[in-house]
Amino acid sequence: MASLADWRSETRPLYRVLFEVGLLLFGGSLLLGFWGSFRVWGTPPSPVFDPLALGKKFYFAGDLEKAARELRTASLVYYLAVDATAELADVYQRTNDRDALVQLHEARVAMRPFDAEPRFALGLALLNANRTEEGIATLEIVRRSVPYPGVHEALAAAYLQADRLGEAEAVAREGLTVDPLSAGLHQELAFALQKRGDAGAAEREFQRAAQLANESAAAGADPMRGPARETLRDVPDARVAR
Amino acid sequence: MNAVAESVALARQRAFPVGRMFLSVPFDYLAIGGGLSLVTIAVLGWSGHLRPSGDMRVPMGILLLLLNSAHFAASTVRLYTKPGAFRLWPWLTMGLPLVAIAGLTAGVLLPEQFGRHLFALYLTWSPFHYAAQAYGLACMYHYRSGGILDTVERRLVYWTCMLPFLHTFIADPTTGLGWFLPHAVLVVHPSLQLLILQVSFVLEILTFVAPLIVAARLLVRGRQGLPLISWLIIFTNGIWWLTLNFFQAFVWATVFHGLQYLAIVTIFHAKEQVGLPTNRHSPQYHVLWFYGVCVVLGYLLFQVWPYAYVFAGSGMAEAVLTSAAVINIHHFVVDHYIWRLRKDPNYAIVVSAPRPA
Repeated sequence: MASLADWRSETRPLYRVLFEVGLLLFGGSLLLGFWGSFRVWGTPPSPVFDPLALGKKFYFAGDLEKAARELRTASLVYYLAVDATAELADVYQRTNDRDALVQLHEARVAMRPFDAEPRFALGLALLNANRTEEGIATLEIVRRSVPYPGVHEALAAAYLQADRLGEAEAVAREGLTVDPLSAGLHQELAFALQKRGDAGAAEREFQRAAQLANESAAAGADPMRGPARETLRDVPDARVAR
Repeated sequence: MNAVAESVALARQRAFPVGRMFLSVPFDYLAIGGGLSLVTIAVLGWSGHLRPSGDMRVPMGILLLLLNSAHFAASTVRLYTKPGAFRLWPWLTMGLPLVAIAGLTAGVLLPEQFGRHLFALYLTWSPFHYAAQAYGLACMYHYRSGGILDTVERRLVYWTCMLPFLHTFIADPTTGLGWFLPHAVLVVHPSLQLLILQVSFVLEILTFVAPLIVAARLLVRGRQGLPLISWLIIFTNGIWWLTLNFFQAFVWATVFHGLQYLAIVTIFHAKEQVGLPTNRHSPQYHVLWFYGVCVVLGYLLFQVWPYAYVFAGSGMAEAVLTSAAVINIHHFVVDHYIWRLRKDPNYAIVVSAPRPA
């Protein structure tokens, strides 16, 4: 194109209008973009690309409602690119929104039905929401499909919570065949035995659990392996029954 | 004896030529051929840094801006600086921008209904774009080196380049086939799931075996083989999609794909501008001007544009990710037109002034 005048004379009016409108919209949106960045951050947009930045900002500012809105879109709509599940789950836990946590993990299971991780997280969320039987059923699917770390321990604790002592003991014993050095599994087994009235065997398991926990602590590892223990600490009455 | 050795050397050179370079053997093989990516991947893999960690966020962000974002902008800059582009492609140059803006706005307004599909389209199209670039570059070096391909040979090279795309299309659980075939269907049809696994395994093997078969076929038929840089380009694309995806380190492929693209498009732009009768600048000036504009436009597109939607009340995730999808799709469409080698003046640049290797 030799000049603007040439371009105007050679181009069909419809294309010209489309181009000029597009250019105007794009230019205007860039100005708004700079303005928007200054409004959010007080600086021009950073070259570091983080679609979760605004959600994290709300999260750390304590505005959990806005944080949840941002992170929810990222986790559920754009999960192919970003995973804000951990942050969003934390928001729901801090706001004690257990139903939302269940819904989050249900959506993740629907998106990744072959993955054990979201199903395991759903099982824990269901237990957290006092939906014990559904939690057990979900964790059982994980247990039967893959050797997922922590699933036996979580299931044993869940069976104990439901007062299904035989199944708690069986699952804990099965877990110990896979991971005989798990302090958590020995402890769950001890609780099951204790509730069934086998005090001697329970005592031996408690001692073994304590010994393994001490050894792990001395080695710098978390004595309570697997994510289940951490989550189940928050389960109401999960330990009270013992 | 000398005559025999000489004829063997000639035959070897004909079967596996180094190829005629655009700039020099080291530059073309490292930047355009993808050799630098293989070296980097090997070093990062050996040192345990293949998957970028949180500490690398800022340097990776800058690297992505300078190479990845700039490469997306490069197709647009190339389109609008190409002599005769407005006349040749009025819809592409003047209509598509408005369509892109409308698509982005719709995606941001309807993230669950439309935005996620736009994003899945971009992710599905991306491996095809990489494969098409590998095919285009491989052929470009072959033609430039004096080689020709008949229809069957061209198809063989094309489908060899497409293998990583086909593998990703079939194997990826969320894009390609995974986008169209709901997980619920696979859950109730385990035989279908098994078939997908088997086909993707075969494609994985073929990605690295097919180039050998095609090379052997050319050799047996006494044809001039593709230059080594063409095979390097094809092989590198396979490594990017099959190895880096596995290690969740695909970000490196985007960086080196960007470098590859920027190198070739800048060479084309500079050669074209220097060849214009009205030119008054050196090639270096055109290279710096073109790259500078690409970096600035890349920054405006990827970093500034999404904030317009944040300003208007949208969430940042949908604004940033939908704009990335739209910019990518626009880039794929534009590329489809501006790299039609045999039908436009690009071909003159491909075959002109070859530098002996």
